[in-house]
Amino acid sequence: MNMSHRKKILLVEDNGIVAENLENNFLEYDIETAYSVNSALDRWEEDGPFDCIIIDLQISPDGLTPNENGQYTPLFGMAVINKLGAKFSKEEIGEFRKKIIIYSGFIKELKDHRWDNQEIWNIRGLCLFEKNALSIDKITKYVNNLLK
Amino acid sequence: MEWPILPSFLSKYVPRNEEYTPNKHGLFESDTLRGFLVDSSDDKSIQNPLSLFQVVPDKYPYETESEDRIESLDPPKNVFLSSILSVDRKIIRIDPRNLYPNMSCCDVFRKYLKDNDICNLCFEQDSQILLLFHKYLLNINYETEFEKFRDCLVELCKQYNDTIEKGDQEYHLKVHSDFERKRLFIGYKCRYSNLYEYFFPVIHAGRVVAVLMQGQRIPPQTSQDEIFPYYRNYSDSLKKSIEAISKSKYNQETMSEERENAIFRRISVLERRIEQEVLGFARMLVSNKFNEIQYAFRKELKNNTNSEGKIALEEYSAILDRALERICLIFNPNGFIRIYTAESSIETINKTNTRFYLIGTSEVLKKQLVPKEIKFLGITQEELDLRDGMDLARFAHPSIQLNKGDIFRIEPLQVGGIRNLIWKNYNEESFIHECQFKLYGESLCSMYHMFLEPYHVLKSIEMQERLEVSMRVSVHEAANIIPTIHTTLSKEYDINNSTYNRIREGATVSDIRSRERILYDSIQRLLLLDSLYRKSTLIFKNSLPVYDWTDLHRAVYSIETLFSESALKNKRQRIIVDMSTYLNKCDFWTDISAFNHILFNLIDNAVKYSLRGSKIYVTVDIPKDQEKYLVSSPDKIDTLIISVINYGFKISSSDRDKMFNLYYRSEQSKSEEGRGIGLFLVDKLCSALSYTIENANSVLVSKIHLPAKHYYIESKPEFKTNEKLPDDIKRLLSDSVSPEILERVVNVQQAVKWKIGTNEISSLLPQGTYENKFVLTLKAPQGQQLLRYINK
Repeated sequence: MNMSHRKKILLVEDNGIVAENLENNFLEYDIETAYSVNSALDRWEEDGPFDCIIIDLQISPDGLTPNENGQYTPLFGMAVINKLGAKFSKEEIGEFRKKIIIYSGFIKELKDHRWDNQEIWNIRGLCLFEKNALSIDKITKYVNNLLK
Repeated sequence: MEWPILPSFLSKYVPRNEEYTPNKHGLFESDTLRGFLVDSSDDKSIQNPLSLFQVVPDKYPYETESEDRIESLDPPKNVFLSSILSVDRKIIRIDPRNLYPNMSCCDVFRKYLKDNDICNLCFEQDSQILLLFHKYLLNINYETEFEKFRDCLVELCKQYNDTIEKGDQEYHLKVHSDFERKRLFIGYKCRYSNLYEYFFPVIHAGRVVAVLMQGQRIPPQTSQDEIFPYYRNYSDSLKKSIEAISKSKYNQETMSEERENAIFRRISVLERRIEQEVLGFARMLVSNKFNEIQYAFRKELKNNTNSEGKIALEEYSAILDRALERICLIFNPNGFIRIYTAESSIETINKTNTRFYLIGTSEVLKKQLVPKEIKFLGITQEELDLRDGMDLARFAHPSIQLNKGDIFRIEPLQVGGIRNLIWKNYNEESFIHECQFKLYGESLCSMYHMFLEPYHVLKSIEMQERLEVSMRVSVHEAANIIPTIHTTLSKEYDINNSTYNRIREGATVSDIRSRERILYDSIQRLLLLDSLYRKSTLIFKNSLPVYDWTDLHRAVYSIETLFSESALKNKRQRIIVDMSTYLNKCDFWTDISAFNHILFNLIDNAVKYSLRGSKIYVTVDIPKDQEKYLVSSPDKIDTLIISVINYGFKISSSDRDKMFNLYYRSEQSKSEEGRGIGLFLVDKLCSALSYTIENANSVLVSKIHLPAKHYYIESKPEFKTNEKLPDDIKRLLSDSVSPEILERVVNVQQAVKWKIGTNEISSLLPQGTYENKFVLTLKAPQGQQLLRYINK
């Protein structure tokens, strides 16, 4: 049983430098990092649940079947969201999705429904941040508000 | 209409319900030919009736439809002659008739024969022109094998003469020839009139198409009584016509040099008319057929274009193949056309290594045998344009064997300077009908633009789309880096009260060093951004190497530094540079910008495709036999070998073959970000600098993912009791690995953390560990020193 009162964040990001920068902004939280689909699922199993998930969508597809790999190309992070989401009931899923922050260079494409399968590319209830020079600060403020 | 235009006779006759073709139906109206005969007979140097003989299909009724302007000869009785004629052919004769009459005695003699139902003996004599149509002569080109033609004709005349009754030697046929002018004619004495006659071949495309006959000359020292000596006793009118012959006709040369030259001149005029007529038809045929092919090509393209206005390259290529096949079937059945093209916007970056890709061939059924790609080595693009044939082919790889009739040259398009390689073969007929094939060749050349236009439009669209993707990926990569630079700098250099306090209090050495580190770190990331930008734009640039002396140590370590932090933080990897102390002190002669790109891409590639938690080695070496020069005479070292060794997945031989192709990405590499540009650029830049780049075969180091095993056991030594872990994974984790191999492959630094779970180890562990190595061999340009010592 986890006795810590500190809030927990799962950071799914395969770019170590970006991950380190984010970690340095969240020193008051417990952060676990993952770089692939499998490592994210493992962190959830071993260290979860988390109060917040910050996820980059272009991560390593390791852990996906070839079919899933084709479906989720190029944004494999959506597979993590969907696979973790599958662990929740219909009633719980809304709350779970509120904890998720997508941090990606493909936000515009997601909003424009560039990919057809809306079951896979469902972004309802998720918080979306475009990756740019100011987004780390924006995410920091958002997460601090969320976990207050 | 058949190709090439090759009429075998001149008088035109088109049967009803048949489409006119010069090869089957002749060229000229009979009045045109008759006009020529009248005009020539009246030539002041000839002044003698000329008649024209042709061998035509027996079924064409010229004589009934031409109002006596053409008459058919009765088949010859002589067996030798009749065997030449064969049953389905006949001889026709055109003469000027009353516009330039014969000697009247000959006309009277013919009338006498006709009135007395005697066969036309004159025709029997005229039939001797058949010797010029003998099948042996058909296979000899009059123009290019004149001597052979003449010898064969002499032999045929001899054989024919032997068929004439003994004692008749004065009536034998005799060949007169002029080798210099390539002209000949046959002369003989008429056995009935004792008058001399001569016949001259009219030639087109090396073959006899008609025979011009100069008739009835009285031989010198011939008396009136010797003319028609036999028949004059039976016909008063014949006798009177002989007596009426003007005295001026006696005792003249039967064939003066002046008349001979004049007849040859006239024949040349006729032959030129034939040539012009044939070329006119050839031009029409080429134009019509190419229009049809062009129309069909465009229609096929349109029918295969999708709703977005695009057509698949494979489909375009198949349509082009069919168009080329059609062209060859009509004009050049035994030849071929192959069209290759270079992608100029990409290829021009490399001035000495140009690849051409097959996009169309007429050999639809044998397409797999045609080289798909031709690469020219050691020749600049400018030189490519100036050479052709074997001169060009010897630079080609795979080596090209050209055969007789092969045309092999570069055809640059007018706009955009895009180069195409045309490899075609003309069959043997093209050499005989050179002018006609020239027309065909010119029309074909003008078609290349039309054929290639859709290809280049398609490639341009494809390039544009790929460029968009490239830019997107670059932007994404840049997006990963920019926030970190921004955050670092804004945190450190945010002017606030604490900053003022620090300035007032004065900074310590440690503060200054810490700031220097931050600045250095930011500079490295900006350099990385700059390289990302260059990588995405370099392929579209046209640049020549710019050489200078460069510090070898800095050149290698600056690239290593660029990646060391990201390799460690992204994938827990470590880059190790191995370079001897002596080489560390050397400058090397290179284009530093190109070298940076090469090494940048090789290490970028190694980082991307190495196992997480592994080591990457960059070794700088010289050949063993040159090590002795390292201490005292580095100027004698002409080769530098830089190897980038990493541990990753196995590279298959088919991937190895294609890895330097633009946009090629293996299945395994698709999980990593990338565009398939990096190794293409490495190859191009290496060629530009005359460096070589090779990828060695993957070597199996271990059947398991060594770094994953190391890090998993380190964090979970109690793995054997983990119930969720499959037994086969437990077994693999228990297998021992030699410490040397672990040391070599795994980045075992304490500072490196990698928390591995059950899912991850189960998926990673069975993936083997292979050693992959890229070897870059640097050579200095000819006559240039490669290395020198510097004072550091």
